[in-house]
Amino acid sequence: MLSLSGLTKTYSNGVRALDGVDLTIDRGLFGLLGPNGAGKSTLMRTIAALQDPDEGSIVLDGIDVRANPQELRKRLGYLPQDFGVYPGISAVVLLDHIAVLKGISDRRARRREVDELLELTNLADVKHKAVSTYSGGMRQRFGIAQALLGKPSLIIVDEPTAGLDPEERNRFHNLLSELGENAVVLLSTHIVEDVSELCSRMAILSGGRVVREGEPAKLIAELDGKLWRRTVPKSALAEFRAKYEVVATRLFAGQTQIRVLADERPEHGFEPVAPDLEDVYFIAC
Amino acid sequence: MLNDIVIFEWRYHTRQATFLAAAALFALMGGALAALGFGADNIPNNSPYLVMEAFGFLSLFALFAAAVFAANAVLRDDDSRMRDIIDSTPAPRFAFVFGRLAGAYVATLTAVAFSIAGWMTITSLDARPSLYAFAVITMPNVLFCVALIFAVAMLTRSSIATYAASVVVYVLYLVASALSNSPLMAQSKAGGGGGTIPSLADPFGLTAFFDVTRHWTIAAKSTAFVPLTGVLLANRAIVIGAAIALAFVAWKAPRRRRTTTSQVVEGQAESLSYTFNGRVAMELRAFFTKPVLLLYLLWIGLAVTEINSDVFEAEYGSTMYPATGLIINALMQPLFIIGALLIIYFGAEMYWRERRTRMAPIIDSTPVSGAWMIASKWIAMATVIASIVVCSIGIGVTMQLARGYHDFRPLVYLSLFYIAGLPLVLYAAASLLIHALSPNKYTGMVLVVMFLFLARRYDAPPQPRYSDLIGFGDTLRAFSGFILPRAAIAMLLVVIATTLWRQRRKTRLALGCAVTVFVIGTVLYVTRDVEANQEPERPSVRATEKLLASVPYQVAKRQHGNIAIEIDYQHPMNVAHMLDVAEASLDVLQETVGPYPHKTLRIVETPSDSPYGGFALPGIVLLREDRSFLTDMRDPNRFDLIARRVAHEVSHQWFGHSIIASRERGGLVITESLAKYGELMTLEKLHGRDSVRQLLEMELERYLSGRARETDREVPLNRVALQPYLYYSKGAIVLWAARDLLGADAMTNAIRTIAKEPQPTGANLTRALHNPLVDEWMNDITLYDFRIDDAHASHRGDGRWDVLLRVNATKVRSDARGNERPLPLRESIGIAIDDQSEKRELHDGMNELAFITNAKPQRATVDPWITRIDRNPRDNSKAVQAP
Repeated sequence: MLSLSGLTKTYSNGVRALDGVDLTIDRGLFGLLGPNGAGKSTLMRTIAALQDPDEGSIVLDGIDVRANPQELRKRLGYLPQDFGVYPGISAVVLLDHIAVLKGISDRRARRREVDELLELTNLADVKHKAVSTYSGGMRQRFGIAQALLGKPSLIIVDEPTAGLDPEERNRFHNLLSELGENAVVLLSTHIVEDVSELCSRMAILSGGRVVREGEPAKLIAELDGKLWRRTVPKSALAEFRAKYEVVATRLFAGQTQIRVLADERPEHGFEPVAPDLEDVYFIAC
Repeated sequence: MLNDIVIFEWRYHTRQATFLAAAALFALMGGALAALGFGADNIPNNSPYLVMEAFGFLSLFALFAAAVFAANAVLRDDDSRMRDIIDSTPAPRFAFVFGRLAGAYVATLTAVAFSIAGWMTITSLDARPSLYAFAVITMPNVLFCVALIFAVAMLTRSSIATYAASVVVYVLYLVASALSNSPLMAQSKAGGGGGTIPSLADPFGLTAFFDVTRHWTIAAKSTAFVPLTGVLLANRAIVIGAAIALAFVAWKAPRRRRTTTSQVVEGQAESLSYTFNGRVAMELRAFFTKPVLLLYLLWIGLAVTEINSDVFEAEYGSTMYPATGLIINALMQPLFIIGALLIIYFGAEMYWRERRTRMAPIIDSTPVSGAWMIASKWIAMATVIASIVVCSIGIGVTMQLARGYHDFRPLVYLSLFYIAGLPLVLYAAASLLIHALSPNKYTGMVLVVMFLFLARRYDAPPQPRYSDLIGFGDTLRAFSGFILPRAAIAMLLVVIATTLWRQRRKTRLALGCAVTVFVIGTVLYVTRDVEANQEPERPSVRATEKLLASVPYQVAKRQHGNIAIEIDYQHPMNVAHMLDVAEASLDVLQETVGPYPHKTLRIVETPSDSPYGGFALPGIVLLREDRSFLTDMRDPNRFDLIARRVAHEVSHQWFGHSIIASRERGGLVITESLAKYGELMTLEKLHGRDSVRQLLEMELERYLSGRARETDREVPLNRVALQPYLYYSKGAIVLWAARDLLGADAMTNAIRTIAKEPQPTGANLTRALHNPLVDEWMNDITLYDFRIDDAHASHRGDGRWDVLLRVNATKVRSDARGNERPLPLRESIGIAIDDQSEKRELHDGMNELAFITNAKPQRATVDPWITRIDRNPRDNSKAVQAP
C-alpha cells in the first residue's frame, strides 16, 4: 500500500506544482487523471524518489521513502514519460544491463527474467535489434519490460499511451491490466479512456491538488440526471456560456454541441444525456 | 555488480563508431612515429628510452580519447534521455560510478594501445621496453585524463565544461614544457633546462622524463631503462594520487540534474532564430558560458608563459625587450594549439547542438536554409577565434607596457588575424564538413583531431616572421601564396557541408567525399611550391651593403686609437654598451694575438630571421637584432650577453679571418674555441672572474646536454667536425682551464705560435701548449666527477674555525658512445669555502682535506671556477655543518 500525505513542491521559478496531495493507494491499477501542468509528472517523479518534495511524506508498505529512497528503488518499476535509450544497443543487452543495475546479480536468473519479459511484451523476435530503432509502440513496450524487471511492488507508468496508435494502445492496455494483481500500479495520464478502461480507482489532479477521488463508476453515477445536451449555433455560444454552466463543447457533424451541468432541464431544446468520465474530468478541472 | 557494469561499459564503448575512429587514429600515429624514425638515428628504435619517449608523446593524444569516452560515460544518460530510468534503479553509487569510470578507462587504454599495433606494422617492438613504458607512462597518464574528465562531467553535467577541463590539462602540460625548455617544444634554448616544479606538474610525465635523462649518453639511451626514481617517481605518484582523488570527487559529487524541462524549452526557443545575426548571436551566447571564460583565463596564462619563455628568458640567462615582432613570433605556435582545441571541442558542440537538443526536425522544417545554419556556425567559430587573437594582442601590449616598452606597431599586431587567425578559420571550415560527414559528434571529434594532426604535419603554412628592420620581408608573400588557394578550398568545403545539412543520404555523402578529395588534391597539386627549402643566402659583404641601403639605419661612431668603430643600428638601447665592449675586446685581443688587421670595425644590426646569432666578415660584424640589440640590459645582475656576442665576433676578426684554420677535423678549435677564449678574456676585463664563472657554468651545462643529445658519436675536441657543444662549450672550458693551469702568458705564446702556422688545427695548439694534461683534455674525452660527501666545521680555541671536507674525486676517459674507463687522478684543483679559495691536490677516490677559516664557514665548493669538466656539477657544493 502506498500513502501520500501533505506533499507540496514549489519550483524555483515560482510554479506551485504540488499543493498538498493526500492519497492512499492499494494494490491494483490506480488512475491519476489531470491536464498537462496539473503536477502529475512532478508527483510521479516525487514518488519515484527522483526529486524531493518540499513537505510531506510517502510511505510504501511501511517504508518511509524520503528517508530510505534506496529501499523504494529496490521495489520500484518506473516507466517515465518520454524517455530515450542508448543508441545502438539491442533490447536484450539493455534489459540485461538495467537488470544488473536493479541488483539481479545472478546471470542465469537475469537471463530468464529478461526473456520472460520480452515474451510478455511481444518483443522476443526483435530482441536483438537496437532499441533506438524501435517504433513508438515497441519502445513503450520496452519501457514496460524494463519497469517490470525485479518484480516490483510499485509500478509507476507516466503517460504511457500518448503518441501510440489505437492498436498499440489496445495492446498496451492488455499488458497493463494483468499487472494489478501483485503490485500497486500508478497510471498517470491525461487520456480519459486509459483510466475508464483500466482503473478500478482513480483521482483527478488539478493545480497540484486532488480535486476528485474514488471509483470511476461511482464518480460517474454522481452526475446521473444532471447532464444535458443541446446543439447550438456558434454565434450563440457565448450567450449560453454566460447563462449556464457549460461543461464541454463538441463538434458533431459540423455543428456545435454543448453539454451543460444542471439539476433540472435548463431550457427548451436541451435533452438529458448519460454522463461519462470525461464529464467528471471537465467538471473537476 | 561492479564487474557486470564494467563489462557492459567496455562493450558499449567498443561498439561505437567513435571507438573505431579513435583506434584508427592511434594506429595511424603509432605507425607514423615508427616510420618517421622517432628520435635520433644512433639509438635503436627498440631502446627503452626511445619507446618511453614515444609512448609519452602518444599519450598526449590520449586526452582526446579520454574526453570522448569518459564524457560519454557520464553524459550518456542525459544525452539519450535515459537518466530517469537509470536513476530509479537501486544500484549503489559506488558500483555505478566506479563501474563507469573503469569502463571508460579500459576502453581508452584499449584505443591507445592500438598505437602499438600501428608501430609494429612498421618496425618491431620488444616486449619488455614497451610493457614497462606502457605501465609507467601510458597507464597513469590515461588514468589521470579519464578520472579528470569523468569528475568534471559528474560535477557539471555539461559537455562544454568538460571540454574546458581537458583544455586545462593541455595548458598545464604546455606551461610545464615551456618553463622547462622541453625538447618537444619548438626551439630549445642554450643554457637552460629542467626544473623540479615543471617536472612534477606535467601530468603526462614528459617533463620529468626529460629532466631525469638530461645528461644521458648515447650508450645509456640505447640500452638502459629509465628508472622509476627521483622526480619521475614523484610525478607518477602525484598523477596517480590526483587520479584517485578525482575519482573520489566523482563518487561524492552531488547528483545534479542537468536542466529542468522549462530550461530546455527556453533553449529550444532560442534556436528558432530566423535572422542571420540572430543565429550567430545565439551560437555565441551558447558558447560564452562560465566555463568558457575560464578558458580565456587559461589562454592568458599560457600566452604569458610562452612570451616569458621566448622573450624574457632568453639564452644565457638574458632577457629581451618585448619587441612586437618577437611577441607575435612567440604566440604563433600556442595560438594554433588553443585554436585547434577550440575547433575540436567547441566546434563539435556547435555543429551538433540542434541534433543534441532534438531541435533538428523542428528547425529543418523552417525556411531557414542549410547555408544559413552552416554559415552562422562558421561565423560564430571565426568570431571566437578572433576573440582569442584580440585577447592575445591585449596580452602582448600589457607585457610591453610592463617592461616600459612603447614601440607597439599596431599593424603588426593586426597581422595576427591574418597569419594566425585565418588558418584556424579555414581549419574550422574543414571541421564543419568533417562533422557533416560523420555519424555522430564523438566520431566527428576524433576525425577532426586526425585531420588537424595530418594538416599540421604535412601541409603546415610557411611561418611569417616579423623583423623590426625589414618587416615581414618575403615571408608574408610566401604565406599568402599558401593560404589563398586553401581559402578557396575551405569555401568549397563549406558549400558541400551546406548541401549535407538536411539530408545525409549515402549517395550524397559519397559524392561529397569524392568531390572534396578531388578538389583538394587538384588545388594542392597545382599550387605546390616547386622550389623546396631554399638554402638561406650566405652572409657576404655585398649582401650587407644591400641591406644597409634598404634599411633606415642610424650610425654611431667612436675612435679607438687608430681604429674607427662604427655601429649601424635601428634599436638604440645597447649601442653605447656595444661600443664599450668593442673597445675592450679590441684591447684584449690586440694584446694577445697581434694588431687588428683592419682600419675600421663596423657592427651592423641584421633582421631576426637571419640564420645566425652573430657573424663575422672581414672588418664587419653582423649581429642579429633579437640576439643582442634587443637584449634588455637594465638589470645589472644579469649576464652580459652583449659583451659575449660582440667579443666573440670581434675575436673572429683574428680567429677565422687573419688566421685561417684548416677545414679538417679540429679546425674549428682555432676558429670557434679561440673565439670563446676571446669572449672569456673580454668578460674578465669588463666584469671580473665572477662573470667568467657564470659563463663557464652555462657552457658546462650546454656541453653535458649537448653530448646527451648527440645523434652520432662524440669525438675528442681535436677531432671536432660540426658539433657546437664541443667547439663552443667544451672548447671554452678546456682553453680557460689551460690558462688556469699554465698561466695567461703561456696561452698567449701558444696562440702567437699557431698564428704563424699554415692552416692550424687544435692539434697545433695542443702541441704549442706542450702539456700532458692539456693533451688529455684535447685529444681524448676526459671527464671528471667531484663530489663533496661531507663538510664539517668546529670552533678552534683561537676564534677561527677548523673545516674538514671529504671530497670524492673521479677521472674517466669516455669512448664515442659514452662508455667510461677510470683513470688515475693527481691534479691540483681549487676548493672554495665561501669567498676564500685555494688549490689542493686531489687524487682519485676519497680525499680528506683540512682548512682553517677566520669566520664561520657557510658553504664549501670544489672547483668553484670551473676548471674541469664535471659530469655531474650539481653535487660540487655543500653547506658546511657547524655546531
